[in-house]
Amino acid sequence: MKIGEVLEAGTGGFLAECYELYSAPAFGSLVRSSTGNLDVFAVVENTVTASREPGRLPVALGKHETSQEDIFNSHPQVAKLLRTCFKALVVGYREQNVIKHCLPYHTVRIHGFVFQCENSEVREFSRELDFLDLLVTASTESPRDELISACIRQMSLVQENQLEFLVTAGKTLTRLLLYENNRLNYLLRRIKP
Amino acid sequence: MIYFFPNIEDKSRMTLELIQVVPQIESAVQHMKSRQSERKQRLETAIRIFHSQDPSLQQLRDKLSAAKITWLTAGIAGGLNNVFPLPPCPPEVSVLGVDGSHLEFQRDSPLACYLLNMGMARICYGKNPEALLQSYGKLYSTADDLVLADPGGSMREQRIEGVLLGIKRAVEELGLARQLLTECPAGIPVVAMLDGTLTLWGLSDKTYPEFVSEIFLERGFLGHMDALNKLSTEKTFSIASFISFPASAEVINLLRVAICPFSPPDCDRYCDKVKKGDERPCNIVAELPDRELFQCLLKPGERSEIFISRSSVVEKFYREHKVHFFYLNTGEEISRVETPAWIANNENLLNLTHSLVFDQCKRGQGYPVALQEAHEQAVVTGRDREAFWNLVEQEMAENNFSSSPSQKNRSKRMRWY
Repeated sequence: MKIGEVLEAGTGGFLAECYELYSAPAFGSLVRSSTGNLDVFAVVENTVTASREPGRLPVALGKHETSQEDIFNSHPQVAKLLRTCFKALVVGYREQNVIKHCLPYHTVRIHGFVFQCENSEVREFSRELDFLDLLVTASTESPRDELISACIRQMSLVQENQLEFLVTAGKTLTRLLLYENNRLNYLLRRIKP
Repeated sequence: MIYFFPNIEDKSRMTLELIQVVPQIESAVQHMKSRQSERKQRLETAIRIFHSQDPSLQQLRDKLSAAKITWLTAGIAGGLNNVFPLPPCPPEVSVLGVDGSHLEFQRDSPLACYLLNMGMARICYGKNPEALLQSYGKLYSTADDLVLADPGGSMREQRIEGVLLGIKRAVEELGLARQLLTECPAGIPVVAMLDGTLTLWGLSDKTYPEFVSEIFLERGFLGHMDALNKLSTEKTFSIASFISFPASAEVINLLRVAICPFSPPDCDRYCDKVKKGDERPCNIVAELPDRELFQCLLKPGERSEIFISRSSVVEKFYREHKVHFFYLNTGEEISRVETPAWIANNENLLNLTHSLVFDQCKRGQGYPVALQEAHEQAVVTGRDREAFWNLVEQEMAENNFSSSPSQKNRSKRMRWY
């Protein structure tokens, strides 16, 4: 499903704007965009809904309204002045039907469409969990370990064998965080079924 | 870049020496303060005169039409001091806001051009609330765009810049309002709001040749008004030009005519010899803006009587579209709302205008939401301006034109010493 467009692109991630207000994909979910030749996969790491224009700030409008919906009915323009954007961390790409869990050699394109990955696509991407290497060392706007656990939980929801997937993810994290016991324990608690 | 003495520039340096200006500001405020009680007295006198005219309104009308005065007065449409309560607002209604901004022709620019950016906001209230916010930028660069030629065939020409560009913008704003009103579905009442006055003041003096008025006023502004007047037989809509914190004193000046002891009033004949500093009889209410008078007379939501603009350009050219206006207490300030005569003379449309303008101000915390959003769409910021001229230079360079600006422009950009 097409959900938005790329506004800023870097090697390690991109910023996208959603077509609809408050319709960002879930935190930790897998999205896809393109470099033109490659399909690039990324994990949603931070979502912000704010004023479109930096100099204009929303003010409280609902003192005399009974519901939040009434505010938007009385001030229909407000919805047009806000936008929902999300930042996604690149965790892999697909080239000639082969998925690779590393950074692509080109960035996604500005105004490139961003799609929410279908369940089958998520299963295909998460057949191997090498992309977790990128996430455990990534610099993120949201708390990094919250992102990792959210990503694993999100992916587990579409697996045929959810428990097996979580155990494999736990083992992968154990290997990656061999010398970071506190972090590992925290993450294992967060993904425990 | 290597700096041997980093950060030695004086960041606190300002070219405006405020320390020199501060005592002058203090003195100006003190002067204003010293005149406060006198001003209050004038206002009380104005209110008394305003209320005392009612029995002799026809006399005032006659006196006004015979008067030869040097200041602009309001014409009387109906009564003088009636106050009209806020009519109910229709449950289903649309509001259009139209505003424009421009990038002025720059003599030292490598490309002769100007740019108009029109902003619009269409906001629908009721069962299906929605909003549409858009802007339309247009570059004018052909010979026909830049210069008005006499359609009569003479060799006279007038370059579109400065005041004339402002007038062209006003014509385009009304044209956009016309287009949007034409596109609006019939059945739901609409109020189209413009910012500022409907009077094209720039054409009131004799600075420009007649064909300028012919093109901008007769074919442009009034052409749009003719079409809108015709459209009003098919659709329910109003046009309201909104002036926040108006400085006009046309109603106060009407009171000056009322108290003038000379019959008929003739400023040049009777008061020409009054020396500066001496009092003219009518000075007892002078220097007050209308808004101060109506601030004392109107409660929030109420409007004044309808008045008619007697400016020379309106009287000479505007035909059935003569500018009528009323003052409205928006709850935050006294504002002036202008409409063409055919709306002011239609009670339903007048009530629609009254209720919707107040409602817009209420929703917009003092200023109409539709105009605020149209302005936000139209505004060309300093960064936009810079980006625009950079694009022009880039395009010219790519096409092997010399894109270098004037040496003065270059000097301002470089700021070397």
